[in-house]
Amino acid sequence: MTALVEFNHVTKQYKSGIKAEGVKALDDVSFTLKPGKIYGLLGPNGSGKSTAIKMINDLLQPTSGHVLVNGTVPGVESKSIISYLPDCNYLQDWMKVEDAFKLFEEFYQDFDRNRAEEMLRSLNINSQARLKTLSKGTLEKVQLILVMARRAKLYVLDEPIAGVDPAARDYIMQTILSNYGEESSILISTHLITDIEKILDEVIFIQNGKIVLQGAVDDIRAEHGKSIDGLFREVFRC
Amino acid sequence: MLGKLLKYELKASARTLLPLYAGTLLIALVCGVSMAIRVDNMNEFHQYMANGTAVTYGSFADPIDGGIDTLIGFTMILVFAFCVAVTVLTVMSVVQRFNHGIAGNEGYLMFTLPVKHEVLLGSKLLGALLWSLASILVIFLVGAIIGGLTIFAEREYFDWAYLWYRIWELIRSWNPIPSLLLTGLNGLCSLVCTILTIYLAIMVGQMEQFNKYRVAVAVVVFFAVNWAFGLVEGAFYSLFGIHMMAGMTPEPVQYVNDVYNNYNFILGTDTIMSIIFCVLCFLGTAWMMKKKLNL
Repeated sequence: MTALVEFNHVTKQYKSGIKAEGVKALDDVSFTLKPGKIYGLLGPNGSGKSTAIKMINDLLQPTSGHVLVNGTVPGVESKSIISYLPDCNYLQDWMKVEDAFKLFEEFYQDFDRNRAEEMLRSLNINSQARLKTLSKGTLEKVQLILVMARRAKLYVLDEPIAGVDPAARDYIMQTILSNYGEESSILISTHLITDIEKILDEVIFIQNGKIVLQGAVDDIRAEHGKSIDGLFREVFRC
Repeated sequence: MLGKLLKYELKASARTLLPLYAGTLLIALVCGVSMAIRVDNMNEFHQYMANGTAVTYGSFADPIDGGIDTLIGFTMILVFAFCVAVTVLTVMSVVQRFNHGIAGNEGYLMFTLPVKHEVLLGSKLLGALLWSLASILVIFLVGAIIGGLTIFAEREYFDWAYLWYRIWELIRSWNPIPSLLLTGLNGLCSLVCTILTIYLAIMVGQMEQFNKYRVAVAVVVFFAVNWAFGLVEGAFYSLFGIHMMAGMTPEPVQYVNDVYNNYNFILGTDTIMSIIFCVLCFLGTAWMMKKKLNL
């Protein structure tokens, strides 16, 4: 089976200043993501999660090594099969929710308008509301709706539930689970492991730019005799 | 895709610039009408003076005329302020649309749309160019409205036949149309070059090496690139001996022709160099968007 995402000895070094050596955000990282699975990319702040996610989305270039998405270097083709949710507001604030839907409809052929409207109704969000009038949590829900309403091959979600209330988290988890197809995969990066543990198939623990643990959730639980959340607290204890 | 991107680009700035354009043109209209009334009154006063029924404007004018003087002064200041606002907000819009849309949070959306970097850059450039041209047009219209209404008030005293005769004479003897077209093209190329230099400067400023000094680096790069372009252009002109006085003869008739030809030649050379600089800036910015993006 072809890997959806392949990281091959990827290193990313951030330079600060012209002569400075810089910091390694990723250090010789290799992993693959296969179709039909939900992956958790877990690690403390500054561990390199967002850097890896940005590389999958062609927002950053590796210093060395290579990243492949569906067998090709990230570019126009990969962007049409990846549905990406960043950990910030990326919509223009003059837009209404409706405008954002139209934008996605125009640029992504796989955007399912009916699915988006259904999720909007379930979450009680007015499609005529201006984005700048929405609360942070509601804005995150709108962005999640936009992302999950696509019939993409890979969903990359960077902190999808960090800004929403606990009551909405279950709905969002349910939304994520019910909206991805058998051939699709999801990569979720988060700190809120308790909330997502139950939906994960595989996890990648990352620390200081290096992968410290990866594998199937059930195998890891059996091997360590702990939940993923418990193991996370142990591995990343301050 | 370019058309779709351009649509959103234009929409984003329309909310700020369109009301400003409307306000500017409205104030210009009020100013122009006030000027026309004032000119009309002055013409009437001159007639009275010629008839000997009025000696000074003060003795002739009624209180409304005094009000018109105040209105003209007030609207002139407003027209000036609005024209400055149009210029400043257009420049800010060009900078902000690129800075937020490409190097800021909106970049997460823009760069994950399935479009090529060149198309993305092209849409930003076209949007900025169209708004810049619209702003220039509005400022021209302000002049046309005020000047046109004032001239209209003077219509009885204006020798239109003589004006057209002079214009026709100018076109017939000198044919300024190629020069005007070349000047327009040169202005357009210079505008595109300035916008692309701004984009290139922002892209250099957002690099990871300059995280702490993004704005300062972008400003320095903008001036440095302009200086470098000026230097290359100057060196080229010196090397090939191109200047306004090149090959001039002392005979008056030939002299005018020489100036005209030299002007066209220099403008043509400048336009070609601007196009080369535009291509360099475009390719450089697109390459940085692909390889040096730092969101």
